Amino acid sequence: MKKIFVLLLRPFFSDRLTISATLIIILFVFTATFARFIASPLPYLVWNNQTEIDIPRSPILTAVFAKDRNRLESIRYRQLVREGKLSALFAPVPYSPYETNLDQILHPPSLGRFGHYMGTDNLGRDVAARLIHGTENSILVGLVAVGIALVFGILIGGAAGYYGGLTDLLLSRFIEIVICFPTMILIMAVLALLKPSLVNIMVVIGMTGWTGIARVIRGEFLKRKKTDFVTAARLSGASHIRLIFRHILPNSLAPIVVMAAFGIAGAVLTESALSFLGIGVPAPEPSWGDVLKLSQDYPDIAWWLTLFPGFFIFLTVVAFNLLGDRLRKILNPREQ
Amino acid sequence: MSRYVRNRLLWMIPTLIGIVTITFFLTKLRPDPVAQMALGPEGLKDTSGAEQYLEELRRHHGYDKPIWQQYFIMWKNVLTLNFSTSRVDHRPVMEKILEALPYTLGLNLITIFIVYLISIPLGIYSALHDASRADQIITCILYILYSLPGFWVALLLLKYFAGGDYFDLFPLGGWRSDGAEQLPWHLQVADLLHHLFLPIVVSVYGSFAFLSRFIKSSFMEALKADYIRTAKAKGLNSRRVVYVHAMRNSMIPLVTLMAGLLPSLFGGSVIIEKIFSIPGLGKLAYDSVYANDDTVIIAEVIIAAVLTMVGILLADLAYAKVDPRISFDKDEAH
Repeated sequence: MKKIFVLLLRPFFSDRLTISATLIIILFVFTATFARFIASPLPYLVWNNQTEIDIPRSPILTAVFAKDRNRLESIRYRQLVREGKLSALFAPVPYSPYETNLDQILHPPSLGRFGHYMGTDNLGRDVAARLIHGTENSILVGLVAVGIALVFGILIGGAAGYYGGLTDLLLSRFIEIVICFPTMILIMAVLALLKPSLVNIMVVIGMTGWTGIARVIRGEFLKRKKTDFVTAARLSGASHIRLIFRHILPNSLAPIVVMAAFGIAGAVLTESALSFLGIGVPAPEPSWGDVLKLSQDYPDIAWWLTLFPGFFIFLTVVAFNLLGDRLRKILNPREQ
Repeated sequence: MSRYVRNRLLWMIPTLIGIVTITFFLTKLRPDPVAQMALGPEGLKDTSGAEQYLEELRRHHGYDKPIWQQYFIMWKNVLTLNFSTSRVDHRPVMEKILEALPYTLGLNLITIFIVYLISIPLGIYSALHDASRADQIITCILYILYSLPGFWVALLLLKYFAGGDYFDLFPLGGWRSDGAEQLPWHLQVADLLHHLFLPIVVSVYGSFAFLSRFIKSSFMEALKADYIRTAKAKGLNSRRVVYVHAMRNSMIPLVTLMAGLLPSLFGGSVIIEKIFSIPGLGKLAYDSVYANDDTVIIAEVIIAAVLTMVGILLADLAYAKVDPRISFDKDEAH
């Protein structure tokens, strides 16, 4: 086991690009997980309370763990701090992704305390907060959609490759039929007939993205089925299920991991494209593509609406693609 | 060869059955399409007469018939290429699709042509100068291009190169200028290219990486082949060996790659056509989704799938034509 790690990890971290890609992905996952702690109008800590209102010590923790969230969020902590009635330690981005402010519509990026680091949109919502919370949707869609695609791809491709014969013929035809449907048009049609929601988007992207995986898995299974160690296992009486999941599948993991990395990049891109077209996660929910969609309406005034979300999407896609590419080289030394 | 062609053509029948059946299941995703279409999701259920109106609508669109009958109606529509009328402007659906088709087809053909035109020399150059500084820079640039989201690039290009705030070089969108049909033909072509330049740039750049990488590895493999060594040993000019002997054989797989590009091109055109307001299939799909126009969406899914199927078929046949070994292998495999 130790040897595997040395073999895998040393080439992996010997390259600066790969390290940066991994760091970007870690940052991306971290941002998604802790979005509500990174961008929140609620302070971490409160002291020196000179108001009559009963304010908890740590509003952000109370909001996460308490039930009556509304009461807490209706207090404008920023206002109290500005008036000097309260001292507080805020999150790095002291805004909520939903909070509109009609006094500050299309405000350009500004630094400093309570600044809008990435500007505001047409409703005065803080773009940085929206992008940070949008990360959550992006990674959810990316992971779940690719998970669904992997399950379908492995089951269908695996069955075709393992059983061969008529099963292979039928399943291969089925894969070829599904390939004929242009993904984007199919996704749009399904989302038009169903209601666009986070779950529907994840399922649709997953259900349209498994064909490539199935083809590779089929080839992989065809190849492995004839190897000596599988024959040996079969002769010693292993069942089909055991042969598939214990012997063949673990040996086909390399292409699966590579395709998962590329798949996540693709799914993140598709999700933002759908939000950009206005059929992504429903309206008040933040999403990278949604911010980019707004930029279309104000191309001359608001450069920050184009620059930041596009850059976020680009960075994520490039990181996952790089990772996939690198993994392919490491796991498939023939190509090097 | 002829047996392969016949088999390949016969296989289209089950594929078509599959396409129509899957699309039919798609239409059943919405529990009551007519009710949602006519009254919105919540509906005006309590309004007097609403029930009767719905009943009429259902009958008009054929939802009152049993499921198997609806399935055969869909088949009839597909085989006669007659998909009733749009629910928005009541024009025949086929008419709308035929109107939009040339734009998408034209855009995609130009895109494929340019992708190949640029990727092939890039791939060959990279293969001949493998792991050199230039090769690394090319790979890096192609990589970045591959990961740039198309709609973002489109927005940036529109902002900086069209409209007038920075460089007023290109029109903001559309297919041709007003009154262009009165110009002499060469100016019409120029006008067309002027309009299409940005959309083509956006739809082209993402495919370079994939294709040129493929060409590179296929070319490098060809350079290692025995017949290349023989040709060199014979004392042939090394330029001739590279550009004639190796190139011919490494270009064969490119034919099938075209088939792989087709579905993504049809799909990718949704965003490009929407941003640059080109009235093609993608724009039509987008508009129909927004207008809840089920008949158009469904017809378009079928037409796009059938077109892709035919494209893949043509690519396969071309492949079998240029490489006689392949058709034999393929028949064996099945």
